[in-house]
Amino acid sequence: MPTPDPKTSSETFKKADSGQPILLFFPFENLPENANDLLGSLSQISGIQAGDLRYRLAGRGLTRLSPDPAPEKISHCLRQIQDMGLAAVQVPETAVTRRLRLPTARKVSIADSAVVFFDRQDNAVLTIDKKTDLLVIAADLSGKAVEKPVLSPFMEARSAGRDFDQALKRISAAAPAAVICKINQDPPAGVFVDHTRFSYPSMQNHMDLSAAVNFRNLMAIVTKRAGSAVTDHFFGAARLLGAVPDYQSGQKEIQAALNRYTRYMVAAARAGIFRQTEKPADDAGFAAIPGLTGSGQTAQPSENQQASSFSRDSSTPRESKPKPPPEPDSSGIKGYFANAPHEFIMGGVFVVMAVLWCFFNLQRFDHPVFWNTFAGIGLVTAGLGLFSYSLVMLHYKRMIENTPTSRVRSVAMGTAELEGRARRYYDLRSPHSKTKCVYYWCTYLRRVRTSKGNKWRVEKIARSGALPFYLEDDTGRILVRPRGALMLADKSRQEFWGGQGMWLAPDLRDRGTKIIETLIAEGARIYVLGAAGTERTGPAFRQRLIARLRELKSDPDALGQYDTNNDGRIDEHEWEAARTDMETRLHAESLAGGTGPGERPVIKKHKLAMMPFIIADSESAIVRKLALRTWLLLPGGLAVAGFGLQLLLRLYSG
Amino acid sequence: MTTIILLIFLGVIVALVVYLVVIFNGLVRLKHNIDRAWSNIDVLLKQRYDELPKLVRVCEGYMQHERAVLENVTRARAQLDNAGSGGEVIEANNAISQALRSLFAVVENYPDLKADQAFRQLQSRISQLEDQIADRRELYNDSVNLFNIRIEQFPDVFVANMMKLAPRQLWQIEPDHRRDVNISFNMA
Repeated sequence: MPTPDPKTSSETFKKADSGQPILLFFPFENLPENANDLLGSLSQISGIQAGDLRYRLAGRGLTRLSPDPAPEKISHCLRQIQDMGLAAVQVPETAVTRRLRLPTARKVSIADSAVVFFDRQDNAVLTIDKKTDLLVIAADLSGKAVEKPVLSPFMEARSAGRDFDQALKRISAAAPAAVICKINQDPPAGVFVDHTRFSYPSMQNHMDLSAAVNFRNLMAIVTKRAGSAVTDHFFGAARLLGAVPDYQSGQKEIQAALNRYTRYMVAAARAGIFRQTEKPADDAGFAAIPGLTGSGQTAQPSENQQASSFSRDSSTPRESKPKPPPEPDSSGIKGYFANAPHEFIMGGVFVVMAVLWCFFNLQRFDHPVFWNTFAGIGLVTAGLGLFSYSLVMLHYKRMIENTPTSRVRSVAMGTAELEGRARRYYDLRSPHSKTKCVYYWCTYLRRVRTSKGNKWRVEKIARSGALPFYLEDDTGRILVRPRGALMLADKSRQEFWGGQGMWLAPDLRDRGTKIIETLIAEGARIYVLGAAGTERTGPAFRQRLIARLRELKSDPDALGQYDTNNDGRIDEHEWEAARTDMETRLHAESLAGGTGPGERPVIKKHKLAMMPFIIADSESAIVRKLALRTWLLLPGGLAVAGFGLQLLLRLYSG
Repeated sequence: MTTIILLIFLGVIVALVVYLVVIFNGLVRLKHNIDRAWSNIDVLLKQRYDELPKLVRVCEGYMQHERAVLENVTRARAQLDNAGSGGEVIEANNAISQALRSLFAVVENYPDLKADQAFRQLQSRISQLEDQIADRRELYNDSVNLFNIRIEQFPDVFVANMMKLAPRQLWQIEPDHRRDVNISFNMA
């Protein structure tokens, strides 16, 4: 394939077409941690916000960038992206706006040297032979197999690194389709193969009984017969504008999005995003452009790109493995109250006080007025308790609504609201499903017989305790210390029923048992409202200062700088000046790093009890929950208190 | 019967008073949130302001032919010194952002400068600050927007009128700064 050099090809494109230039590239699967410096610089040049860039530079499939259209800026951006080790090219916008004609292939004729596709009227619409440079894009018209990797981070993580053949196996389970396109022809010719409208019997001796296997065989044959082939199965996972399929809207729309994705891929391939190298000797695989890995989609970085500080290895750990968690600090009833809101405890105290008051005033429990008085006081207390609780909920609700969401990178000290994904600090797994999580809550139930029939009784509650975890958004991560938080995140709930069987956990080897496991899984989206601050991870300021002063004392040259009167010794005033200077330097270092060298940002409970600390699924979900509690309990509490008051008035006024 | 009616009436009055107090407190918090958001931007702007002379000093050694770009940075910094009102401060800071953008674009032509460790550190630091400023500016605008919506919404509008609260101004980019940056390359 006459694949031009990316730089020269982009020049050719610019001269040939005066359309607005755009950049096309294959992003990192995982953005390297040291990307911040280059992201900042790229953001300055391109005029695109670093957050947006971060989003675009990590993901799957071909991606586009429309930076500031000034030619100098475009080429600077292109160079920067290539320096990061990514395969990138510049193309004019018009190269991707021209619609491709992709007739639907109904039949195929397979010979040793060529493959010919026919349309409904038996016209040959595409011939593939050794002179053909091919682009094959696999798609799934049902969306069942492709939608999941896009929506679910877990599925996406599992599918990472699968090659095209494996991707085909996955897609074939649903409604497979493919675009087969000749890219060394202008305009590019291609066909659309729809599994449901394709006649596999025309494959004759290449045919299998399984239609899914036939589809895979067809893809393998066309890529083998071609001179070179680029294969791609990330349609649906790419973030190209207008080329993201909406699986709810139907096949036509998916097909339209596929056409647009193909246009981008063709433009990128023709502009030289895949570098031509020598063809491998064996004919086993179909990626005849060896620069491509597995899926045939990502290009190898060039020598100088490999020398770059960026690593494209998605398996590179982003951080060291989390430590094992400490023993849960709370369990059972004690555990329930360890993290309960203060108002519950206060309510209990009120009830005890009411009982004591009744007893000391009436001296006897069997006094006729005792129970009425107790009921009256109890109702007033409970009503006021509910009313106060609803007010606290209203206060929290308004606080959440009135606090804008910050980004982790720029969170300021004080009350802050953050949204992102939960990441583990400790290597915590739920006790029964063994799911990686940041928090779990297990309720152990036993079936008991009562006079009213069978009933589930809570035997034990086991919780992971207030273990810290990270909240991560696209700008960074922050530690969350959940002690004292109102935990309203009900992310994932599973029930385990007891039975007989050695494979069951010891807790479940009884038919009368049940375990309900609720957890916040690793990677789940969470919302946190709390007090942002810093916590020390290294030595205190004073210790660092002492260390610096020791260093200064051991260095006569450095110490000599403070000998202002040149008498060869450091007197009290000179030592004070040296000390002040060291203090200033340490403060300056702390400021320059955003936080001190031994400090890290953290979200925790505010020192003021009235300030909320909430961990929930999402802002809208928590506002809904709080609104419901407020508007039910506010009038309810008042009504209960009024009823109790009326009871007391009737008792004592008569 | 009279007692029940009296109790209901009392309950409604208590609920109303409490609700008004919650609204009042909410509006006070929103008002102070805006001031806090503004101060939080100020902290970063001050840090960026302190870094600018160091950046210009490092660049001067390499960029002999780009006096105008460097002067723009210095001029924008001086503009901030002379800024009085909030609007002028916003304008001056926008000018600094614009001047820095031009500077970093031109730096691409000076590989030696790009390789300079001091410059790289400063560039990285300023880029981080710029990102943080952009985030906090959004947060400030969010705070102002929430406040402006609240004081016009029912029933908050009654309390807001009693408190004589007026809508606050969003941080907006000057139309001049939306234009493309004019960069001239004097290749020596």
